[in-house]
Amino acid sequence: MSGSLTIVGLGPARPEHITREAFELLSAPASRGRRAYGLAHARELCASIAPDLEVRSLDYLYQLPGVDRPTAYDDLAGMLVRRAFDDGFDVLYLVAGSPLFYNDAVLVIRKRCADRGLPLRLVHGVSFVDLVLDRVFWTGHQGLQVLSAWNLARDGMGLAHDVPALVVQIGEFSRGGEALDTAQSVDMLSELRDALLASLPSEHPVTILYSSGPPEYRSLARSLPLSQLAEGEVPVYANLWVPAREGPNIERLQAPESHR
Amino acid sequence: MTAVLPPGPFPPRSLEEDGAVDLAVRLWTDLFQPGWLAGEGRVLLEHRLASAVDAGEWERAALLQAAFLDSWPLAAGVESAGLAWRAHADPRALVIIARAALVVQLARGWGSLPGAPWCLPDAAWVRERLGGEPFVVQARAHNDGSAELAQLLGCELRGQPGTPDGVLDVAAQDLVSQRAQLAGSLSRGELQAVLVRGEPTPSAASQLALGELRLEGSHQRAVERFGLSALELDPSSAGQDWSWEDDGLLDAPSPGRPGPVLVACCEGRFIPGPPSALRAGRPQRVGVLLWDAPVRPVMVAPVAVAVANALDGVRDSAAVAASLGGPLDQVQLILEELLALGAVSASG
Repeated sequence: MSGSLTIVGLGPARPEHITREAFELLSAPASRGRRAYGLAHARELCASIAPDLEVRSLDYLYQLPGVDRPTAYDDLAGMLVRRAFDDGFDVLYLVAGSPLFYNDAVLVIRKRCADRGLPLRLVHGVSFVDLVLDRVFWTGHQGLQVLSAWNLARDGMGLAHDVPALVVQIGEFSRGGEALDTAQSVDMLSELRDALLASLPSEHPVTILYSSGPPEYRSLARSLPLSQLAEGEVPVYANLWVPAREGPNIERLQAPESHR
Repeated sequence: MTAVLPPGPFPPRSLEEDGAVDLAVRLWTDLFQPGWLAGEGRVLLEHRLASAVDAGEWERAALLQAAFLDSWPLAAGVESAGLAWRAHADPRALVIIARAALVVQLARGWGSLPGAPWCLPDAAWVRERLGGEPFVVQARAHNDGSAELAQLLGCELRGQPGTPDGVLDVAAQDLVSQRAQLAGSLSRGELQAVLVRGEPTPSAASQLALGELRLEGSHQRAVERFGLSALELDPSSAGQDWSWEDDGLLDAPSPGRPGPVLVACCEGRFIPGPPSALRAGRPQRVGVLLWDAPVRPVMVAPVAVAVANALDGVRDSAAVAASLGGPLDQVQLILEELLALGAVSASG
């Protein structure tokens, strides 16, 4: 039975971030064999550019009591692969940002397809990294580390302090690490601050990078000394820029907002 | 021998056939009516609510109170919901009728049909409709309540209809093993819904399987909520999750017309509440505004009800304030709020 599976990156926020390839795929004439799936953000974005495309809601996967994220991702992968290659549908799985950045579900799907020799099409999207880096001056001369707040605060991983770091998902964690809960972000920030203070001075400059949210999704930034990192909540999709301890001075500066 | 047709499928789409007692039609014509909901039904709910409060059964009291208050918009909206359902299987109409069914069940102390929110009347109510004639229960659809009815009446049951086309009945314990096949059939449109017999286990595998059926079945969620009647919904509307609480389901009252002499456009009552305090067993006296229209009840401070009830269409606000012994400026402020809510309007 013929069928296909395509993972479509929709970009980080605004409809104009969607690539031409993704746009053409989504706005192609409806066919009986096409079946699209996505979470709330993807459905909202898709509705603005391809209102005729029905996107089935995967939100329930995150709301089942007793079903952890890895189990949900594995189930999702199995389901989409079956729908495409057993049931013969042209399956579109719509994801926010780039499919390749911090998306465990996509990773599981890619691995599953690779193991079974199944063809998988990836439609790349602009990553959130493109948006957040426009408020700092990253030179690239000493490389870049990308780690999650969880990696540093709770997995015991450390930063190489001669390389600047982008610490992602600093506002996402509840105590259980499951729910998106801004109110719990201060706990995570405290742990992150303490982990960083083990090897950086308290006055080391860091910059919180976040978005103004819909509809403009402006890139916002707030610079502060590391010691003050946990003094307030941060938005769910916030990230942290940590310049190298002895890197170029320009990487310690906050860049002005880009004009649109 | 009289054939008794069961209370399902509900809401009924046709008239009663000659020589049969159709309980779905009788339920509709006797109870899903403005007169019954606003009359006997409301009185029964009020009595049951008082008993629940006296007995300290707070959860039940909260349920009964919500039903009592909803009897206003339901009495005003049930007829048009019935028409909309019969004319074009309107999904919003089905939600309104399902809420009315729960209100009827709470008022009469009845249960519901298997796998659906519709009424299963008690034996006494059914026997009243039979008038002493010998009878047999004649099944007409899957899960129509005929088996339960025959058991209730202790009489013969004829017929055992299977599931309709597009629906498969599956035991809960087979859900996980048959998941891939069921979801495939649902996605290809060979099935519209799967009836899960029994309670699925709370295991992750079982929940994920049920999640996939809901994701793929055009009518899966609707059938789980409303029973097989939901198969009549258009596939595009079957996926809409309308609920009784949705803003778009009922009308919003239009703001009142200002004037020197005002009159109430709704009924003001004092009840134990608010709902959260009632559920917790610490009710206070609150006010509620109730319209004889398909409009949601509005909880207000008791003083607002006192002001609304004092309006007689003759006295101006100063006279009303004097009759209540309250300061004029506060009464005027309350009247402005009531005008905005559409609870009062200019007299004449």
